[in-house]
Amino acid sequence: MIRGLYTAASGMMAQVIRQETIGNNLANSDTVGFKQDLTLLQTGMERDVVRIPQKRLQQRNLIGSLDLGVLVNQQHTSFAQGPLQETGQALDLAIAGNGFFTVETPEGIRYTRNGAFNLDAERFLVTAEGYRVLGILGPVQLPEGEVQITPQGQILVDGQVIDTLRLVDFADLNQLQKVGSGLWTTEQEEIAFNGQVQQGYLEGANVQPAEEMARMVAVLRLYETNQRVLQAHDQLTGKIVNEIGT
Amino acid sequence: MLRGISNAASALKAQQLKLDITANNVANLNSTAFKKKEVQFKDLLYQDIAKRGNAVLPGTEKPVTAGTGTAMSAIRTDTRDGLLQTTGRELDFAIIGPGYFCVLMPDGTEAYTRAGEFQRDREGYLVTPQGYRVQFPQLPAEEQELRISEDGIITATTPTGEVTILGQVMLAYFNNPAGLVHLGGNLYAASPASGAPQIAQPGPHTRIKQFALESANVDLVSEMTNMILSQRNFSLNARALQTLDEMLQTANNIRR
Repeated sequence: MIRGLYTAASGMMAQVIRQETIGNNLANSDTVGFKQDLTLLQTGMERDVVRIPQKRLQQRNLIGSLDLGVLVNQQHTSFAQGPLQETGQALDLAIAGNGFFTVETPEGIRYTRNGAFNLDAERFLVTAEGYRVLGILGPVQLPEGEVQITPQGQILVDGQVIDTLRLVDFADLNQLQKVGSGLWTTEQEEIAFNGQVQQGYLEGANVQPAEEMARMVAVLRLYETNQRVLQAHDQLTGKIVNEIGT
Repeated sequence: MLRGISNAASALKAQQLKLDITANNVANLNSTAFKKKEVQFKDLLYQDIAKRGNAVLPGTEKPVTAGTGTAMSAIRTDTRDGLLQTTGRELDFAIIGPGYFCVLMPDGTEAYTRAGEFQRDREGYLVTPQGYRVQFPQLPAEEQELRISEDGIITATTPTGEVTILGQVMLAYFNNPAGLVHLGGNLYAASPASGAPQIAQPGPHTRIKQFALESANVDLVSEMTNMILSQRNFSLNARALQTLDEMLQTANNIRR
Protein backbone atom coordinates (compact mmCIF):
# COMPACT_ATOMS: atom_id res chain seq x y z
CA MET A 1 0.00 0.00 0.00
CA ILE A 2 2.53 2.57 1.14
CA ARG A 3 4.88 1.36 -1.62
CA GLY A 4 2.37 2.61 -4.18
CA LEU A 5 2.49 6.04 -2.61
CA TYR A 6 6.20 6.26 -3.42
CA THR A 7 5.71 4.82 -6.90
CA ALA A 8 3.27 7.64 -7.70
CA ALA A 9 5.65 10.19 -6.19
CA SER A 10 8.54 8.92 -8.33
CA GLY A 11 6.28 9.36 -11.37
CA MET A 12 5.64 12.95 -10.40
CA MET A 13 9.33 13.63 -9.86
CA ALA A 14 10.24 12.17 -13.24
CA GLN A 15 7.73 14.48 -14.95
CA VAL A 16 9.33 17.46 -13.23
CA ILE A 17 12.69 16.52 -14.76
CA ARG A 18 11.06 16.15 -18.17
CA GLN A 19 9.51 19.60 -17.77
CA GLU A 20 12.90 21.06 -16.79
CA THR A 21 14.40 19.66 -19.98
CA ILE A 22 11.53 21.00 -22.10
CA GLY A 23 11.93 24.36 -20.38
CA ASN A 24 15.65 24.37 -21.15
CA ASN A 25 14.97 23.49 -24.79
CA LEU A 26 12.42 26.28 -25.13
CA ALA A 27 14.68 28.74 -23.30
CA ASN A 28 17.39 27.95 -25.84
CA SER A 29 15.20 27.99 -28.93
CA ASP A 30 17.03 31.19 -29.92
CA THR A 31 20.55 29.91 -29.16
CA VAL A 32 22.77 29.39 -32.18
CA GLY A 33 23.93 25.80 -32.59
CA PHE A 34 21.81 24.48 -29.70
CA LYS A 35 20.69 20.85 -29.87
CA GLN A 36 17.56 19.81 -28.03
CA ASP A 37 17.53 17.22 -25.27
CA LEU A 38 14.97 14.56 -24.58
CA THR A 39 14.68 13.01 -21.13
CA LEU A 40 14.33 9.26 -21.42
CA LEU A 41 12.65 7.44 -18.56
CA GLN A 42 12.82 3.82 -17.58
CA THR A 43 10.95 1.60 -15.18
CA GLY A 44 13.11 1.18 -12.20
CA MET A 45 13.50 -0.29 -8.74
CA GLU A 46 12.32 -3.66 -9.94
CA ARG A 47 11.62 -6.08 -7.11
CA ASP A 48 10.88 -9.79 -7.20
CA VAL A 49 7.58 -10.73 -5.67
CA VAL A 50 8.00 -13.90 -3.68
CA ARG A 51 5.37 -16.09 -2.09
CA ILE A 52 6.51 -17.26 1.28
CA PRO A 53 5.69 -20.94 1.48
CA GLN A 54 4.29 -22.12 4.73
CA LYS A 55 6.64 -25.01 5.33
CA ARG A 56 10.01 -24.19 3.87
CA LEU A 57 10.86 -20.58 4.44
CA GLN A 58 14.29 -20.94 2.75
CA GLN A 59 12.88 -21.73 -0.68
CA ARG A 60 12.15 -18.68 -2.76
CA ASN A 61 8.94 -19.12 -4.62
CA LEU A 62 8.99 -16.47 -7.34
CA ILE A 63 5.65 -15.12 -8.52
CA GLY A 64 6.93 -12.37 -10.78
CA SER A 65 8.39 -8.92 -10.59
CA LEU A 66 7.00 -5.58 -9.61
CA ASP A 67 8.29 -2.17 -10.64
CA LEU A 68 8.19 0.35 -7.91
CA GLY A 69 8.69 3.55 -9.84
CA VAL A 70 10.46 5.28 -12.63
CA LEU A 71 14.04 6.39 -13.11
CA VAL A 72 15.71 8.84 -15.45
CA ASN A 73 17.64 6.78 -17.97
CA GLN A 74 19.48 9.48 -19.92
CA GLN A 75 19.32 12.87 -21.51
CA HIS A 76 19.31 12.08 -25.18
CA THR A 77 20.56 14.90 -27.36
CA SER A 78 19.10 15.08 -30.83
CA PHE A 79 21.81 16.08 -33.29
CA ALA A 80 19.30 16.72 -36.06
CA GLN A 81 20.21 19.62 -38.33
CA GLY A 82 18.97 23.03 -37.22
CA PRO A 83 17.72 25.55 -39.77
CA LEU A 84 20.42 27.58 -41.54
CA GLN A 85 19.80 31.30 -41.24
CA GLU A 86 21.48 33.76 -43.53
CA THR A 87 23.37 36.59 -41.85
CA GLY A 88 25.73 37.64 -44.64
CA GLN A 89 28.60 38.16 -42.19
CA ALA A 90 31.90 36.72 -43.39
CA LEU A 91 32.78 35.19 -40.02
CA ASP A 92 29.42 33.51 -39.43
CA LEU A 93 29.78 29.83 -40.19
CA ALA A 94 27.28 27.00 -40.09
CA ILE A 95 27.83 23.29 -40.52
CA ALA A 96 25.44 21.50 -42.83
CA GLY A 97 25.54 17.83 -41.93
CA ASN A 98 27.47 16.25 -39.09
CA GLY A 99 30.55 17.66 -37.45
CA PHE A 100 31.88 20.26 -35.05
CA PHE A 101 34.20 23.23 -34.88
CA THR A 102 37.09 22.87 -32.43
CA VAL A 103 37.81 25.62 -29.91
CA GLU A 104 40.49 26.08 -27.31
CA THR A 105 39.24 26.85 -23.80
CA PRO A 106 41.15 27.16 -20.53
CA GLU A 107 39.74 23.70 -19.63
CA GLY A 108 41.02 22.11 -22.83
CA ILE A 109 39.67 21.44 -26.27
CA ARG A 110 35.91 21.70 -26.71
CA TYR A 111 33.63 21.18 -29.67
CA THR A 112 30.83 23.44 -30.86
CA ARG A 113 28.28 23.93 -33.63
CA ASN A 114 27.91 27.62 -32.87
CA GLY A 115 29.83 29.30 -35.69
CA ALA A 116 29.08 32.92 -34.76
CA PHE A 117 32.74 33.89 -34.70
CA ASN A 118 34.42 37.28 -34.30
CA LEU A 119 37.92 38.63 -34.35
CA ASP A 120 39.65 39.63 -31.15
CA ALA A 121 42.08 42.54 -30.69
CA GLU A 122 44.92 40.41 -32.14
CA ARG A 123 42.81 39.29 -35.11
CA PHE A 124 42.41 35.74 -33.80
CA LEU A 125 39.14 34.04 -34.73
CA VAL A 126 37.18 33.68 -31.47
CA THR A 127 33.78 32.56 -30.21
CA ALA A 128 31.42 34.93 -28.39
CA GLU A 129 33.10 33.88 -25.12
CA GLY A 130 36.51 34.77 -26.54
CA TYR A 131 37.75 31.17 -26.96
CA ARG A 132 40.07 30.78 -29.92
CA VAL A 133 38.90 28.71 -32.86
CA LEU A 134 41.38 26.07 -33.93
CA GLY A 135 42.65 25.36 -37.40
CA ILE A 136 44.90 22.50 -38.44
CA LEU A 137 47.92 24.71 -37.65
CA GLY A 138 46.62 26.01 -34.30
CA PRO A 139 44.52 29.05 -33.39
CA VAL A 140 43.34 30.83 -36.54
CA GLN A 141 44.73 34.34 -36.98
CA LEU A 142 43.44 36.30 -39.94
CA PRO A 143 45.34 39.01 -41.79
CA GLU A 144 43.38 41.95 -43.14
CA GLY A 145 41.42 41.32 -46.30
CA GLU A 146 38.39 39.56 -47.64
CA VAL A 147 37.79 36.27 -45.86
CA GLN A 148 36.47 33.31 -47.77
CA ILE A 149 35.80 29.91 -46.27
CA THR A 150 35.23 26.90 -48.48
CA PRO A 151 32.71 24.14 -47.65
CA GLN A 152 35.69 21.95 -46.59
CA GLY A 153 36.79 24.62 -44.11
CA GLN A 154 39.74 26.05 -46.01
CA ILE A 155 40.30 29.70 -45.02
CA LEU A 156 41.33 32.10 -47.77
CA VAL A 157 42.11 35.77 -47.24
CA ASP A 158 42.23 37.76 -50.49
CA GLY A 159 42.62 34.45 -52.32
CA GLN A 160 45.58 33.26 -50.22
CA VAL A 161 45.18 30.02 -48.26
CA ILE A 162 45.81 30.77 -44.56
CA ASP A 163 44.76 27.60 -42.79
CA THR A 164 42.02 25.00 -42.68
CA LEU A 165 39.48 24.90 -39.85
CA ARG A 166 39.86 21.90 -37.60
CA LEU A 167 36.52 20.26 -38.29
CA VAL A 168 35.83 16.97 -36.60
CA ASP A 169 33.16 14.36 -36.17
CA PHE A 170 32.64 11.50 -33.75
CA ALA A 171 31.60 7.88 -34.10
CA ASP A 172 29.20 7.92 -31.14
CA LEU A 173 27.46 11.27 -30.68
CA ASN A 174 25.65 9.90 -27.63
CA GLN A 175 28.91 10.06 -25.69
CA LEU A 176 29.22 13.83 -26.11
CA GLN A 177 28.65 15.73 -22.90
CA LYS A 178 27.22 19.26 -22.93
CA VAL A 179 29.18 21.73 -20.82
CA GLY A 180 27.21 24.93 -21.54
CA SER A 181 27.90 27.89 -23.83
CA GLY A 182 27.17 25.62 -26.78
CA LEU A 183 30.26 23.51 -26.08
CA TRP A 184 30.66 19.76 -25.89
CA THR A 185 33.39 17.57 -24.52
CA THR A 186 34.22 13.92 -25.11
CA GLU A 187 37.05 11.46 -24.62
CA GLN A 188 36.47 9.89 -28.01
CA GLU A 189 38.82 9.88 -30.97
CA GLU A 190 38.06 12.52 -33.57
CA ILE A 191 37.07 11.09 -36.93
CA ALA A 192 37.00 12.67 -40.39
CA PHE A 193 34.52 15.44 -41.05
CA ASN A 194 32.14 14.97 -43.93
CA GLY A 195 29.76 17.89 -43.50
CA GLN A 196 29.91 21.22 -45.25
CA VAL A 197 30.74 24.66 -43.90
CA GLN A 198 28.45 27.42 -45.09
CA GLN A 199 29.88 30.90 -44.84
CA GLY A 200 27.48 33.76 -44.01
CA TYR A 201 25.02 31.46 -42.28
CA LEU A 202 24.30 30.45 -38.70
CA GLU A 203 22.63 27.24 -37.61
CA GLY A 204 19.58 27.92 -35.47
CA ALA A 205 18.53 25.70 -32.57
CA ASN A 206 16.87 22.45 -33.67
CA VAL A 207 14.10 22.89 -31.09
CA GLN A 208 10.62 22.23 -32.48
CA PRO A 209 8.23 24.47 -30.52
CA ALA A 210 5.12 22.46 -31.47
CA GLU A 211 6.74 19.20 -30.39
CA GLU A 212 7.83 20.72 -27.08
CA MET A 213 4.36 22.15 -26.45
CA ALA A 214 2.80 18.75 -27.06
CA ARG A 215 5.31 17.18 -24.70
CA MET A 216 4.56 19.86 -22.14
CA VAL A 217 0.83 19.05 -22.26
CA ALA A 218 1.62 15.36 -21.79
CA VAL A 219 3.94 16.15 -18.88
CA LEU A 220 1.32 18.25 -17.13
CA ARG A 221 -1.39 15.62 -17.48
CA LEU A 222 0.86 12.74 -16.46
CA TYR A 223 1.86 14.76 -13.43
CA GLU A 224 -1.81 15.20 -12.54
CA THR A 225 -2.53 11.52 -13.13
CA ASN A 226 0.26 10.51 -10.79
CA GLN A 227 -1.06 12.97 -8.26
CA ARG A 228 -4.48 11.27 -8.51
CA VAL A 229 -2.91 7.87 -7.96
CA LEU A 230 -1.17 9.26 -4.91
CA GLN A 231 -4.47 10.65 -3.65
CA ALA A 232 -6.21 7.32 -4.25
CA HIS A 233 -3.59 5.64 -2.08
CA ASP A 234 -4.17 8.26 0.55
CA GLN A 235 -7.92 7.73 0.49
CA LEU A 236 -7.49 3.97 0.61
CA THR A 237 -5.24 4.26 3.64
CA GLY A 238 -7.78 6.63 5.17
CA LYS A 239 -10.53 4.06 4.73
CA ILE A 240 -8.42 1.35 6.36
CA VAL A 241 -7.62 3.55 9.27
CA ASN A 242 -11.05 5.02 9.82
CA GLU A 243 -13.64 2.57 8.50
CA ILE A 244 -12.44 -0.99 9.03
CA GLY A 245 -13.41 -2.22 12.44
CA THR A 246 -15.64 0.66 13.40
CA MET B 1 10.83 22.17 -9.92
CA LEU B 2 12.14 25.63 -9.09
CA ARG B 3 15.02 25.00 -11.49
CA GLY B 4 12.48 24.82 -14.30
CA ILE B 5 10.95 28.10 -13.25
CA SER B 6 14.29 29.87 -13.36
CA ASN B 7 14.97 28.28 -16.79
CA ALA B 8 11.80 29.87 -18.13
CA ALA B 9 12.52 33.15 -16.35
CA SER B 10 16.00 33.32 -17.89
CA ALA B 11 14.44 32.96 -21.34
CA LEU B 12 11.86 35.66 -20.66
CA LYS B 13 14.64 38.03 -19.64
CA ALA B 14 16.70 37.09 -22.69
CA GLN B 15 13.84 37.73 -25.10
CA GLN B 16 13.09 41.04 -23.46
CA LEU B 17 16.70 42.05 -24.02
CA LYS B 18 16.49 40.99 -27.65
CA LEU B 19 13.41 43.12 -28.08
CA ASP B 20 15.24 46.10 -26.51
CA ILE B 21 18.08 45.69 -29.01
CA THR B 22 15.63 45.44 -31.90
CA ALA B 23 13.83 48.57 -30.71
CA ASN B 24 17.13 50.44 -30.52
CA ASN B 25 18.05 49.36 -34.05
CA VAL B 26 14.70 50.50 -35.42
CA ALA B 27 14.89 53.78 -33.49
CA ASN B 28 18.26 54.49 -35.12
CA LEU B 29 17.09 53.75 -38.64
CA ASN B 30 17.87 57.35 -39.61
CA SER B 31 21.02 57.87 -37.54
CA THR B 32 24.04 58.55 -39.72
CA ALA B 33 26.47 55.61 -39.91
CA PHE B 34 24.65 53.73 -37.13
CA LYS B 35 25.76 50.11 -36.87
CA LYS B 36 23.05 47.68 -35.94
CA LYS B 37 23.45 45.44 -32.94
CA GLU B 38 22.48 41.86 -32.53
CA VAL B 39 22.25 39.81 -29.38
CA GLN B 40 23.53 36.25 -29.12
CA PHE B 41 22.45 33.72 -26.55
CA LYS B 42 24.11 30.67 -25.07
CA ASP B 43 22.99 27.72 -23.02
CA LEU B 44 24.20 27.68 -19.42
CA LEU B 45 25.92 25.08 -17.31
CA TYR B 46 24.56 21.56 -17.11
CA GLN B 47 23.97 20.11 -13.66
CA ASP B 48 24.32 16.48 -12.76
CA ILE B 49 20.79 15.73 -11.58
CA ALA B 50 21.72 12.55 -9.70
CA LYS B 51 23.75 14.75 -7.36
CA ARG B 52 20.63 16.80 -6.80
CA GLY B 53 18.95 13.74 -5.35
CA ASN B 54 16.90 12.68 -8.34
CA ALA B 55 16.22 9.05 -9.14
CA VAL B 56 18.60 8.22 -11.96
CA LEU B 57 19.37 4.82 -13.43
CA PRO B 58 22.61 3.78 -11.78
CA GLY B 59 25.67 2.99 -13.90
CA THR B 60 24.90 5.21 -16.87
CA GLU B 61 27.86 5.89 -19.15
CA LYS B 62 27.72 9.64 -18.84
CA PRO B 63 26.17 11.76 -16.08
CA VAL B 64 22.51 12.64 -16.59
CA THR B 65 22.42 16.41 -16.68
CA ALA B 66 19.79 19.11 -16.84
CA GLY B 67 20.30 22.49 -18.41
CA THR B 68 19.93 25.70 -16.47
CA GLY B 69 18.41 28.04 -19.03
CA THR B 70 19.81 30.66 -21.31
CA ALA B 71 21.75 33.91 -21.06
CA MET B 72 23.13 36.56 -23.32
CA SER B 73 26.61 35.67 -24.56
CA ALA B 74 27.35 38.77 -26.62
CA ILE B 75 25.88 41.82 -28.21
CA ARG B 76 27.50 41.93 -31.60
CA THR B 77 27.89 45.04 -33.67
CA ASP B 78 27.40 44.50 -37.36
CA THR B 79 30.24 46.59 -38.78
CA ARG B 80 29.21 46.26 -42.40
CA ASP B 81 28.84 49.49 -44.38
CA GLY B 82 25.49 51.21 -44.62
CA LEU B 83 24.20 52.55 -47.91
CA LEU B 84 25.64 55.83 -49.18
CA GLN B 85 23.33 58.77 -49.33
CA THR B 86 24.30 61.69 -51.52
CA THR B 87 23.65 64.96 -49.73
CA GLY B 88 25.51 67.47 -51.92
CA ARG B 89 26.83 69.23 -48.82
CA GLU B 90 30.51 70.14 -48.99
CA LEU B 91 31.34 69.08 -45.44
CA ASP B 92 29.63 65.68 -45.56
CA PHE B 93 31.99 62.74 -45.78
CA ALA B 94 31.36 59.03 -45.94
CA ILE B 95 33.89 56.23 -45.51
CA ILE B 96 33.55 53.26 -47.83
CA GLY B 97 35.21 50.22 -46.30
CA PRO B 98 36.79 49.99 -42.84
CA GLY B 99 38.17 52.99 -40.96
CA TYR B 100 37.07 55.82 -38.66
CA PHE B 101 37.56 59.57 -38.45
CA CYS B 102 39.42 60.60 -35.30
CA VAL B 103 37.70 63.08 -33.00
CA LEU B 104 39.31 64.92 -30.12
CA MET B 105 37.08 64.82 -27.06
CA PRO B 106 36.92 67.75 -24.58
CA ASP B 107 38.72 65.61 -21.97
CA GLY B 108 41.70 65.12 -24.29
CA THR B 109 40.95 61.50 -25.24
CA GLU B 110 40.35 60.36 -28.76
CA ALA B 111 37.03 59.08 -30.07
CA TYR B 112 36.21 57.63 -33.46
CA THR B 113 33.28 58.13 -35.76
CA ARG B 114 32.06 57.19 -39.21
CA ALA B 115 29.34 59.84 -39.23
CA GLY B 116 31.01 62.49 -41.37
CA GLU B 117 28.38 65.20 -40.98
CA PHE B 118 30.87 67.88 -40.02
CA GLN B 119 30.67 71.61 -39.56
CA ARG B 120 33.22 74.40 -39.56
CA ASP B 121 33.97 76.15 -36.27
CA ARG B 122 35.08 79.78 -35.76
CA GLU B 123 38.75 78.98 -36.30
CA GLY B 124 38.20 76.98 -39.45
CA TYR B 125 38.43 73.51 -37.92
CA LEU B 126 36.01 70.72 -38.70
CA VAL B 127 33.80 69.72 -35.80
CA THR B 128 31.18 67.03 -35.18
CA PRO B 129 27.57 68.13 -34.53
CA GLN B 130 28.45 68.09 -30.80
CA GLY B 131 31.29 70.57 -31.44
CA TYR B 132 34.20 68.16 -30.95
CA ARG B 133 37.15 68.76 -33.23
CA VAL B 134 37.89 66.27 -35.98
CA GLN B 135 41.55 65.46 -36.76
CA PHE B 136 41.54 67.35 -40.01
CA PRO B 137 43.74 70.12 -41.43
CA GLN B 138 42.65 73.70 -40.71
CA LEU B 139 40.40 74.97 -43.47
CA PRO B 140 40.93 78.26 -45.30
CA ALA B 141 38.31 81.04 -45.66
CA GLU B 142 34.74 80.15 -46.57
CA GLU B 143 34.73 81.16 -50.23
CA GLN B 144 37.32 78.56 -51.23
CA GLU B 145 36.05 75.35 -52.70
CA LEU B 146 37.02 72.33 -50.65
CA ARG B 147 37.64 68.95 -52.27
CA ILE B 148 38.76 65.66 -50.82
CA SER B 149 40.04 62.85 -53.00
CA GLU B 150 39.12 59.21 -52.39
CA ASP B 151 42.50 58.59 -50.78
CA GLY B 152 42.05 61.53 -48.41
CA ILE B 153 44.03 64.37 -49.94
CA ILE B 154 42.31 67.72 -49.24
CA THR B 155 42.63 70.58 -51.66
CA ALA B 156 41.17 74.07 -51.63
CA THR B 157 40.48 76.08 -54.77
CA THR B 158 40.14 79.87 -54.62
CA PRO B 159 37.52 81.62 -56.79
CA THR B 160 40.38 82.62 -59.09
CA GLY B 161 41.36 79.01 -59.65
CA GLU B 162 44.42 78.65 -57.40
CA VAL B 163 44.72 75.19 -55.93
CA THR B 164 46.42 74.57 -52.57
CA ILE B 165 46.93 71.15 -51.00
CA LEU B 166 45.87 71.39 -47.37
CA GLY B 167 46.93 67.97 -46.22
CA GLN B 168 45.99 64.37 -45.81
CA VAL B 169 43.13 62.91 -43.78
CA MET B 170 44.29 60.04 -41.64
CA LEU B 171 41.84 57.37 -40.55
CA ALA B 172 41.91 55.03 -37.57
CA TYR B 173 41.72 51.29 -38.22
CA PHE B 174 41.00 48.57 -35.69
CA ASN B 175 41.70 44.86 -35.66
CA ASN B 176 38.23 44.22 -34.30
CA PRO B 177 35.97 47.22 -34.95
CA ALA B 178 33.02 45.29 -33.46
CA GLY B 179 34.79 45.58 -30.10
CA LEU B 180 34.68 49.39 -30.02
CA VAL B 181 32.76 50.91 -27.13
CA HIS B 182 29.76 52.94 -28.18
CA LEU B 183 29.82 56.35 -26.50
CA GLY B 184 26.55 57.55 -28.00
CA GLY B 185 26.23 60.40 -30.44
CA ASN B 186 27.79 58.23 -33.20
CA LEU B 187 31.10 58.22 -31.33
CA TYR B 188 33.13 55.16 -30.40
CA ALA B 189 36.12 54.64 -28.13
CA ALA B 190 38.89 52.04 -28.37
CA SER B 191 38.73 49.13 -25.91
CA PRO B 192 40.86 46.07 -25.13
CA ALA B 193 38.49 44.08 -27.36
CA SER B 194 38.96 46.36 -30.36
CA GLY B 195 42.72 46.72 -30.01
CA ALA B 196 44.67 49.97 -30.29
CA PRO B 197 43.91 52.22 -33.28
CA GLN B 198 46.28 52.10 -36.23
CA ILE B 199 46.39 55.50 -37.89
CA ALA B 200 46.89 55.31 -41.64
CA GLN B 201 45.86 56.87 -44.92
CA PRO B 202 42.72 55.54 -46.56
CA GLY B 203 44.08 52.17 -47.65
CA PRO B 204 43.48 49.72 -50.44
CA HIS B 205 40.11 48.68 -48.97
CA THR B 206 38.98 52.14 -47.91
CA ARG B 207 37.87 55.24 -49.81
CA ILE B 208 36.50 58.59 -48.64
CA LYS B 209 33.56 60.10 -50.43
CA GLN B 210 32.66 63.75 -50.18
CA PHE B 211 29.06 65.09 -50.58
CA ALA B 212 27.69 61.87 -49.13
CA LEU B 213 26.83 60.32 -45.78
CA GLU B 214 26.71 56.69 -44.72
CA SER B 215 23.23 55.71 -43.61
CA ALA B 216 22.44 53.20 -40.84
CA ASN B 217 22.95 49.56 -41.82
CA VAL B 218 19.64 48.60 -40.22
CA ASP B 219 17.40 46.39 -42.31
CA LEU B 220 13.81 47.04 -41.29
CA VAL B 221 12.47 43.73 -42.60
CA SER B 222 14.87 41.59 -40.59
CA GLU B 223 14.27 43.75 -37.49
CA MET B 224 10.54 43.18 -37.82
CA THR B 225 11.12 39.44 -38.24
CA ASN B 226 13.29 39.48 -35.11
CA MET B 227 10.55 41.29 -33.25
CA ILE B 228 7.96 38.66 -34.15
CA LEU B 229 10.39 35.91 -33.20
CA SER B 230 11.11 37.42 -29.78
CA GLN B 231 7.43 37.89 -29.14
CA ARG B 232 6.62 34.26 -29.97
CA ASN B 233 9.59 32.98 -28.04
CA PHE B 234 8.49 35.04 -25.09
CA SER B 235 4.98 33.54 -25.09
CA LEU B 236 6.38 30.04 -25.54
CA ASN B 237 8.52 30.40 -22.44
CA ALA B 238 5.73 32.10 -20.54
CA ARG B 239 3.70 28.96 -21.31
CA ALA B 240 6.47 26.77 -19.89
CA LEU B 241 6.39 28.88 -16.74
CA GLN B 242 2.61 28.56 -16.54
CA THR B 243 2.82 24.77 -16.91
CA LEU B 244 5.27 24.59 -14.03
CA ASP B 245 2.96 26.77 -12.00
CA GLU B 246 0.10 24.37 -12.65
CA MET B 247 2.32 21.45 -11.68
CA LEU B 248 3.20 23.15 -8.42
CA GLN B 249 -0.47 23.72 -7.78
CA THR B 250 -1.18 20.06 -8.45
CA ALA B 251 1.51 19.12 -5.94
CA ASN B 252 0.00 21.50 -3.42
CA ASN B 253 -3.39 19.85 -3.85
CA ILE B 254 -2.21 16.31 -3.07
CA ARG B 255 -3.51 16.67 0.46
CA ARG B 256 -6.69 18.69 0.68
